[in-house]
Amino acid sequence: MLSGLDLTILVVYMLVVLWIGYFTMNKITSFSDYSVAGRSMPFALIFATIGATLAGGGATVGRVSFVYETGIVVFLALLGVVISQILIGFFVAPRISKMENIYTIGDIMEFYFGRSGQLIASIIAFLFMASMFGVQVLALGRILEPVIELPFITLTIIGALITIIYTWAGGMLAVIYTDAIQFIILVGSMATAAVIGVNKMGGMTQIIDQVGAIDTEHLVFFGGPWTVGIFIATFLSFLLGEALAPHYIQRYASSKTSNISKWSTVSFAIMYIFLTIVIMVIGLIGFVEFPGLNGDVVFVTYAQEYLPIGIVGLVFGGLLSAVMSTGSSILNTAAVIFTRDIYGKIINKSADDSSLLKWTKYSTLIVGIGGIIVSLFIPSVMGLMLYAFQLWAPSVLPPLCIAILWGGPSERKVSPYAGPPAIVAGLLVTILWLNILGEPFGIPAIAVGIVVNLVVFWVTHFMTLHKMPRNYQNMPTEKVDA
Amino acid sequence: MGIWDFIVYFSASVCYIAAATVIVGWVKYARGK
Repeated sequence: MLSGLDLTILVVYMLVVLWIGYFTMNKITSFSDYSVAGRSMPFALIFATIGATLAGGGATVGRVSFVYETGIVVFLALLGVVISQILIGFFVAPRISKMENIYTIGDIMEFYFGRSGQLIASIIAFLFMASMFGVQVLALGRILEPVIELPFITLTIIGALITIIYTWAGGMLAVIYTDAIQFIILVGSMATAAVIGVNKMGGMTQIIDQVGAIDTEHLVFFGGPWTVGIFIATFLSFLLGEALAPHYIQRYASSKTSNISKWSTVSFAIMYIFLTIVIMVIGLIGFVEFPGLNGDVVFVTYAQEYLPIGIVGLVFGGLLSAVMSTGSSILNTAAVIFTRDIYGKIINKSADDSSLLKWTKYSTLIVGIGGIIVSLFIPSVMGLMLYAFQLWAPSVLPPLCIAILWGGPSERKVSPYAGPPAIVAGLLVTILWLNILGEPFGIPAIAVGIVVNLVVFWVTHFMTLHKMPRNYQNMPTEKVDA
Repeated sequence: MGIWDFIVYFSASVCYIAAATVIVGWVKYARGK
């Protein structure tokens, strides 16, 4: 259990994020403020929000657990995240920031692939976001359970409600401000936890020697416990799994200039390498010091048994920060997608700005509370939602990347008919390869889905190159950088 | 100090510098508004 000081640190942290929600609530006057923070965010805040969003429960507790159980072999595969973010930072994010009137992935897809492209991408994006929110909700309870004497369900609901309240109150502005606080706590606490551990063990060389004496495979960078097939599948999922995910699109659109979105994305990609190293060190120390544990509890055990009073509270604040920041980002994006792409374009096409703002707030509450109920009480639906999580890369990602990258900024070179069939084909083949065929020949479903998606995309593109749909919206003008 | 120690302490320093960068940038942004 936590000491009084550590518990106080956690309570203060929660009060601060709630206060940010209250503080930003009065600054929200339009749908643009609520969904893309008025497109006014500077480098430091975009850097922090991308970092806090990218580093969730998987990158902290999950990473320590993996290193504890298997070793550092995951490090090279994790470079997939770094490569993906650097490429996106240099080539994609600035183009999205330059486009006017972009709030969601649906807006981009509508610009390139018309209304059907927008609708199908929005539905997949919404399911993707809702599933990720459910995962973060459960992670909140798991982090708090070992240190606060309350039932798992109660702790999950408290953590999730705090996240929902500040996201509901201040929208993207609150999410970015809280992300900044959470980023500072997260990276500060992870670095401190690792340094204290290394010093206590007598240095990193000492730790490496001790790990090697127990199991040399724990120190293998390539091969060892992983076959080449596992490496490729894991690398691909890190490379593409969250690439251009809907919540990142909103962050690029929130940047004040295209240069800010470019350099904040690239800077965090490089920083991710160092953050990963300090987190993996904790897994290795856990492997030496706490043998025989379940991997999921290693980080918590390490913090409680290895760190001094005060730092423990900070580290738990860091873990909560990782999960809450990712959860709030996803929640806001899900609500904005629902309101902008489904409510505003299908249910009530004449909705004005105040109506969109009102509905985004409603949908934040509905998705948030729905996420708590589903993740805690309807595990079968949660299983289905987790399944949707795997379908992003083989569905929306390929047509989106080609459309944005081909030609100059905001130039449409792809056929507007090519996107929707490619998305549907990629989805269906991934499901078929994964569930019905069971990934034959060891070929990952994500790779097969992407290949089929690309083939259908190019075939349709060349077949329909000169056709133009009636609802092809006018080209948005480029935003002028301040 | 061995290479492994250097890697860990350097990584931790990068984390602290990143946190400090966010604080400084945020303060500048808030003052400039």
